[in-house]
Amino acid sequence: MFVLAALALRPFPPVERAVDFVFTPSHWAREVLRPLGWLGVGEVRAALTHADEALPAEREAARALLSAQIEAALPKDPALRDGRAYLVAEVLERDPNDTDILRVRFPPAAGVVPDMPVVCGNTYVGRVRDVDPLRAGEGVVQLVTDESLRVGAVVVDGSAEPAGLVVGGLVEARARRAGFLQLGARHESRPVQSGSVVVREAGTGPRAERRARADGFRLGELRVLSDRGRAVLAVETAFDYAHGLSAVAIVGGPELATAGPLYADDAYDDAGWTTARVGLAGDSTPRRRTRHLVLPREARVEVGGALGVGARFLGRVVRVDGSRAIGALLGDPALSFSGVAAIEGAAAPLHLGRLRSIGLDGDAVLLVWDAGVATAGSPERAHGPARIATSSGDRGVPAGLWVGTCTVPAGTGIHVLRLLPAQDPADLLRLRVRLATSPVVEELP
Amino acid sequence: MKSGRRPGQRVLGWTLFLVWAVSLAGLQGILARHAAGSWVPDAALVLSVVVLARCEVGDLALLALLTAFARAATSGEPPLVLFTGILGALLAALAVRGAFELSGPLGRTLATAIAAGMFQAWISIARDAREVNHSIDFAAAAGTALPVALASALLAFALGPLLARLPGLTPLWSRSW
Repeated sequence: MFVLAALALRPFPPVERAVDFVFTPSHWAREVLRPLGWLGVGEVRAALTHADEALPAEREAARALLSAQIEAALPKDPALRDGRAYLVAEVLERDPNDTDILRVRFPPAAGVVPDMPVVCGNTYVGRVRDVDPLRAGEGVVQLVTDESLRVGAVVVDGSAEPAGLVVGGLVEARARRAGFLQLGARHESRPVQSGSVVVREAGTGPRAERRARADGFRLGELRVLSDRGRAVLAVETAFDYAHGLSAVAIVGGPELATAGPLYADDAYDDAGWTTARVGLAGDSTPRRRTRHLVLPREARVEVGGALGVGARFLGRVVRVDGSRAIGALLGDPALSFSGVAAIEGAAAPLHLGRLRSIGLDGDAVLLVWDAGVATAGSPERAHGPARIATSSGDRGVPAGLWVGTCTVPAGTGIHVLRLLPAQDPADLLRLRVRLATSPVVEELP
Repeated sequence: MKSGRRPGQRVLGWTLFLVWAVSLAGLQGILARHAAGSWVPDAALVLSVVVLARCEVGDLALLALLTAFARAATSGEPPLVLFTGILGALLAALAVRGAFELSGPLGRTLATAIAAGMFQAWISIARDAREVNHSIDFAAAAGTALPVALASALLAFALGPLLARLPGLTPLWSRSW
């Protein structure tokens, strides 16, 4: 009994597969129960018809939202746009073991190479570390908060001779205190106490040239901190590296291709979806909202793939076993996704970061949202009634699917959002499942 | 032959038990679709406790396995988690059988409350434990388990005798029945 319990809590894949095999007949039992789902079929048909009718308008609204998000990733300062090309890349996911590493997606033939700087607005974010040879159009970005990244910088303090710095990583222990990040820094030339810090890369050769395209992008404000009587140099940044990244811009020279669709992965391309049959429109475990899905045999679906209907997001795939899968719907405690809010009256969309579903409250879905810490010096965050859509940051969930409406509260910290879903998935017997993207290249070129 | 019945009868009995358990789990899933689902009783587990009250102790593992089959057909939880949880819950109910008569109202209500509460708490704990970078929330597990335990106990108290009379289950009863 204790061995079974240990294996259940800490899964051992071979045992898990063997038990799943033993339980194969339960799939047939589920088919017997399918007629139970027909009880609410009239309501379901009406809901699906409504979703189909709303699709064109919802698609256009989503594209406008994504377009605004992409625009927000490009620099506003005209001086930073001159002589450089920008390619907007979608953040696919974060490394779960290292939050300072991002995986991004861009058009495969865009000409992205390692060492190209990565920015968001006027802020320096990091640089391209690798371009994935196995997944076309994907690369790894190392954030400036990563311990091993160093970037040349200068302090703009009004003097004729700029003071050189090397910036990178976080000041240990106190880095995330007081509402903003403190990037590590050390003097390279004359010592200064304060001023704005911008990138200024030095060196010669092709790598240095690529890195130097980030010159002029903002890092933060220089501060001298006191740590047990010892002066510690730091660059304070109000940029929210934890939550604020859904689209980033890769900086290159004229050779960098910038044309293309909104994102490399279009949520509204029908070729990216397959239709799945729902085994039983219910889950016998209280507070769970999962569904057993039967997929077409040729469909390649991966864990994390989105579930939807029309332009609406319903949940994600949590397990795949051949042509069968289990999906967690909105309201299931195993569901989380990246969200963006189109707030009424706000000019730019608000990237919310991770939203975690914790259950239902009447017709509403409860989502936990970490609004982060106060960002010193930055304008007050927009709040109020909003439409929530999926955002970049999760592999398999395309940006721009509508999730529902809620009120985005003011203030920082952890909030529980009460979301009225765009589509209640509870009774559906058929839904769309996102196919696996970027198939792995079989052989290296 | 533990219960003194022919093997064919017992196979038929267990098959019909599975059919009833799957049907109850399916109904439970349909009822638990919306917010009030937290108070839906674990009907398949109630049936298992009712059967446990009358079957041989040696049948416990098979009873747990078939109940887990029924739950796996209607739940997104991994089968290993379901089987382990149901086996543990039925062992707890068996311990109650040592002190109370499980076919009586007090015994079956108490045993069902303990079994359903334990099983539901186990599901929550296992889900937290299996998630990467996630700590186990024991308070939330207890909060989820309580309504299910109460609703299941009420169902066992009110409909236990009716569930025991479901067609086809008699071959599972031990000699004393």
